[in-house]
Amino acid sequence: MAHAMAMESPRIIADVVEVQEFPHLAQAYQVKAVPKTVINDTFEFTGAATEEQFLIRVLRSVGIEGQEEDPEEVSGETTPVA
Amino acid sequence: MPILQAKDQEAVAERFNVELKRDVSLELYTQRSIGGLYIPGRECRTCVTTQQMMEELAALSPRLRLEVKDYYGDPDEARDKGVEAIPATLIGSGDRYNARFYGLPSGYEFAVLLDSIVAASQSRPSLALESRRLLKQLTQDVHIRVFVTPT
Repeated sequence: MAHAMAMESPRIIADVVEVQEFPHLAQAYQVKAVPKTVINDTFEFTGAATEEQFLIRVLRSVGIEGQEEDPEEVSGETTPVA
Repeated sequence: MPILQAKDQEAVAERFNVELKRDVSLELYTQRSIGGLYIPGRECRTCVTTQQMMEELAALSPRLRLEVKDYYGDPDEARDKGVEAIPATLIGSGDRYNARFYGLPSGYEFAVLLDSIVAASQSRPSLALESRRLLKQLTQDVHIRVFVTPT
């Protein structure tokens, strides 16, 4: 989803990070379960999101308001990181 | 020994043949192999495998271009592109490399890699019309990091 948005907007860069290969990044971003998404180093959520939810969170991260539930809420299925 | 099995190569080549409408570039930031030796602090467990996977993929379509970059040999270029660690695979078309993988895209992430390559060729929009309209409102840069584990 993040990649699809990056392909659509020149404003977006989307990284997929394999946490077991980069434990220092996992630690820096306090990844305790995956998938975990961090937007602009400040806004984050754990678990899957629909296209609409993801989009609203991206827009909110830059101050464009949308209507949605608490973005910190864990949604979907997550896997704890060992 | 190839990473992609013959039947997988066939399926991926067929998909690329049908769905890649424009050239897509892959830039792989890795390190130059020095006979299996690593400089302490620069160990890279998956660099060799990732490079082999990307070379196998690139061979499956004339629309795919792979450039292999030496992360330590050309640190300025890596910094300009914002590459933070290796192996890093940047997917793009033209001058835009907005979708990136850090690490070996295996398991489910391999499917994401294929989807991202197809999306980069812009054969069809992968987002809904409303999403594309909303994304046009962005006036600031957004950096999304999605942390995953191999599945």
